[in-house]
Amino acid sequence: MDHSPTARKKRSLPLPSKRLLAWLCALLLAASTLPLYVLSLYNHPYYDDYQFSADVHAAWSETRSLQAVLQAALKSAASIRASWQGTYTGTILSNLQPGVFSESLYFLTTFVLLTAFVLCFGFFLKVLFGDLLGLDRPSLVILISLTLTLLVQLMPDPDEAFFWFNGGIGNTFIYSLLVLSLGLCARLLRTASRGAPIFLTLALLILMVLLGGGSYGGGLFGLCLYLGLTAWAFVRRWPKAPLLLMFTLVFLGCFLYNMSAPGNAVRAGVIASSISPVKAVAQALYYGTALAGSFLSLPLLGVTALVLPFLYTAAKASPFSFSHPWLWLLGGLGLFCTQLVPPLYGGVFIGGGRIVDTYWLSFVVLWLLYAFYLTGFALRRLEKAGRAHLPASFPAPVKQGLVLASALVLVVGCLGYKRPADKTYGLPNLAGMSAALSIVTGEARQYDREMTAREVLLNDASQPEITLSPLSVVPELFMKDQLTLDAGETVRLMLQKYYGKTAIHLAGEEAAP
Amino acid sequence: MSKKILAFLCVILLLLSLLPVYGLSFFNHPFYDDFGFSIKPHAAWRNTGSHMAVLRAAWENTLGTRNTWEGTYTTTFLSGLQPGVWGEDHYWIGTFVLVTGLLLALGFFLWQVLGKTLHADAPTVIIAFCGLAFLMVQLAPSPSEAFFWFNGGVAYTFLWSLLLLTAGCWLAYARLKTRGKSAALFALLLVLAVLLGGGKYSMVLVALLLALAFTLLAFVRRHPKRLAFAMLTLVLLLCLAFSASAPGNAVRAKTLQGGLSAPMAVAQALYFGLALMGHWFSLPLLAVALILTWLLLPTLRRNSAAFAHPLWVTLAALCLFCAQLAPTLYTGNFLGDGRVMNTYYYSYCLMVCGLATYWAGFLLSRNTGIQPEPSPRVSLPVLALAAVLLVVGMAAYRPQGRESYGPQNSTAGTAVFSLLKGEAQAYDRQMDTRDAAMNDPAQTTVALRPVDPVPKVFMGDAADSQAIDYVLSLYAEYYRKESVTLVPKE
Repeated sequence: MDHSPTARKKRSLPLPSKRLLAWLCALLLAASTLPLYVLSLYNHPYYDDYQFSADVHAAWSETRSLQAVLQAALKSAASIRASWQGTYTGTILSNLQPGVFSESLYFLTTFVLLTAFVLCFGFFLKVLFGDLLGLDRPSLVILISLTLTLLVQLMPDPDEAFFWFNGGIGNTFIYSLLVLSLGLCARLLRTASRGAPIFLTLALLILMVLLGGGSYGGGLFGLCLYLGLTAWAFVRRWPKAPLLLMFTLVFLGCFLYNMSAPGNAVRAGVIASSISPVKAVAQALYYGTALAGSFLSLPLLGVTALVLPFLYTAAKASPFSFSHPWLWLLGGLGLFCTQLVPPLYGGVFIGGGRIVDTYWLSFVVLWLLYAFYLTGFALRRLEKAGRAHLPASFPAPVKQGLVLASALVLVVGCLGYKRPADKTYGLPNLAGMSAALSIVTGEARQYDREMTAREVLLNDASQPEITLSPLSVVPELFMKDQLTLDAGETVRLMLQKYYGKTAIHLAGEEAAP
Repeated sequence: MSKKILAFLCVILLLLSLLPVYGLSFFNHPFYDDFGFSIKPHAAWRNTGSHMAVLRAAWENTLGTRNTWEGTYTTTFLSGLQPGVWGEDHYWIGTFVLVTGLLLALGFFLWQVLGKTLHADAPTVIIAFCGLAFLMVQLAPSPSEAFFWFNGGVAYTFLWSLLLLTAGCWLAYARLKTRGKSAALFALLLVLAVLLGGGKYSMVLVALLLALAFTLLAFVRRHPKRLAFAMLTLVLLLCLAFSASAPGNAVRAKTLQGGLSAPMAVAQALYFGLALMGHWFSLPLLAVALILTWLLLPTLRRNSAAFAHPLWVTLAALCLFCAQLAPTLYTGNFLGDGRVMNTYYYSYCLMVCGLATYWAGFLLSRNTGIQPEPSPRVSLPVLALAAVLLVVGMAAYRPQGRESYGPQNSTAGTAVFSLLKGEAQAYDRQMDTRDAAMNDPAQTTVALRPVDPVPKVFMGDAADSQAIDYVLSLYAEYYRKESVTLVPKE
């Protein structure tokens, strides 16, 4: 039997079909993401957005100068470092939430967070599976589109990931930067030219500084990744291993600076329910495993099955021996679990929705890598047994049937998608569909109208004391309104400070018991 | 590891997981419709102390309910015989009947399918039984309505067990060659068909579709017992018609709103059926399907000719699964309550394992180069993989309404927590006080004190129900009180 590359090519899915499939997958990604962008046009600032950017807002209102805004942001970040937390990247960026300049610009939140997410993760997957593992363009488009669609649509808390600047910028955005840095690192390690490394080195140094000031879970995860990569680079005697070491040290230094913030102790005092480090590690292992199990759903398995032929192709072309699947499984799981240690140690259990979102992102990427490793392991076993031709020898109808079955698994998985808070099953729970429904039913417009009415009063300097109306509706993907009759004073105080009001009342509260 | 040792370990693990479930039942008490359906039998027992009188009263109750509420005579009759009729401290028998009934029916069915039809060895059947029993008992969507509430459980879980028993008997009957045994089994099947015909419609529909399919297949293949199959199907159909023609069904339908047209109900059944399949997929289920399929490979190879139509079989299985949902959707009950969902879930577990086995059999018949040989040992990597899937899946288990992940959310886990925290004992004490007041003829008016805490897998406190007036009237009628009132919560 002829096993030459040409013969293999003839037997594989014909290229036009793969191209068509690639187009369809790209279209799926675009169509499912578009409603999120459209919905963002109706979004408004929320909760900590006001808290973090009150001084910056005041600076903008008084001076209309970008320089003054930046100065205020840095000053505010320094103050927060002393009084609340040291995550300087998140703090500085949170000060610059788009609503500072005008509430009508808040849509930029989604444009920044989602676009950065799609571009960074897309770039990372392209570098990993295209540049490093040699997948052809259509295969790459299919793999990237399906993975990104899955990541966005099944995000555990899409509201906190893409529709709330303060929540998204410190978590989803930081993970976007992390994968961007990994992609750039791979590029740097592969490049032979002199000019490119200078630019890449500079970019990576900036990224390390930004990552070091990110969230503690993400920081620890990223740091462990970089430490592992650096160790691997030295063991394998990569010529650019010292460069990698430098990045890791910068990352580590910034992370230590972040951790040493006096505000962290203040914040810990407020939460006051932390656990011992040993217990935090043990709980991180337990809940990490639990989260991994809950993320391992039918849609993810469907996407994995759909991209399996590409992983197989990549594994076949790779020089790896793939001989330790259990070791890599444990290593990957351990790495995944490290993210949970800081929130557990800090006494906030596994963290809010925005943090769980980052677990989801890292899990899917690690899972794809592990699926690649497992495919390679199976392939090497087949090669040893002299049956490496087996998968390629499946007749075309069988291959097409397998693709169809994988797609069905994905569809059935999406139909059964239901998070704990969701009322029903299926497509309406997917981020894109939920956004589309909010737009079509007019919920988004209604919310926008009511929030705009509030903001007119809030921005009216002639009224130091105002009465705001409760919202009649909030789209599923937006953060839930905190200015309600049964809520506490926190949001009102934030709004008072942000808009310079002496008092804010809520319509109907005088009648409330 | 040898298959025998694995089977032994599985049995031990299953028993250990069942102990807390049975143990917790000793603290349980009747709830809500338990009283409503057994007022007459309870009165008969109190007045006469005769079991025959209780049975007569249950029968009269069934006839009355047929006219006033619903025609599902089997479930009505059995509901009238809730163990609390003989004394509230007998209510634990409910859990023993429901859980044990499910296990026995599942074991018998698997023995008929795997052992007798596919000729799998005994350890394989035992492992399959333990795996599926674990899934069905520990991860049931609503364990309270499946195993800790007689009225809900007997109408659904128990009837589903009867359906499984019937399917097993049907297979045994189809295989039997001796006349005497055949006749006895046929008589048993007739009784079971009559009982099934009086069950809830979602289950009767499945039973009928299965019976029709088997009968049709028997005629196509000229099975010697095809006429007997046709007769059984006809009996089932007639019983369903009798149940559906009950005047009470119209009365009940009026109380329900939001019913769908038949085509819409079918379309929604397909949609939500697929949704449930996607939603219920879990790593423990994958682990059981994996180990079962792996163990059956040599057996499947011997019978590979029997797995020729995987696509049609898959399609038929999916349609059959979805068909269960049509009756509740049609009547405006959406997917039904937890007790109904439990039966969908049991079917789902069986279907997934069945289809995995069928596809494996099909692939073996396609000359894929895999030549499994019968072996008394289990492949360690496969066993390790299944164990990892099971452990990770249990760690990730988080049913609706639970705060965290983990095996403590399983039926046994929840039961253990209730027992260890003393919730069950506290509940039992408070309910005993209530029962004592209710059973005291000297007290003609009783004020119910709300019970707190209630173990999570129990149904809750009926006195905390939204339909409190109905509950109070039930209590008054059941215990012959002039009035039963509610002491407000402090």
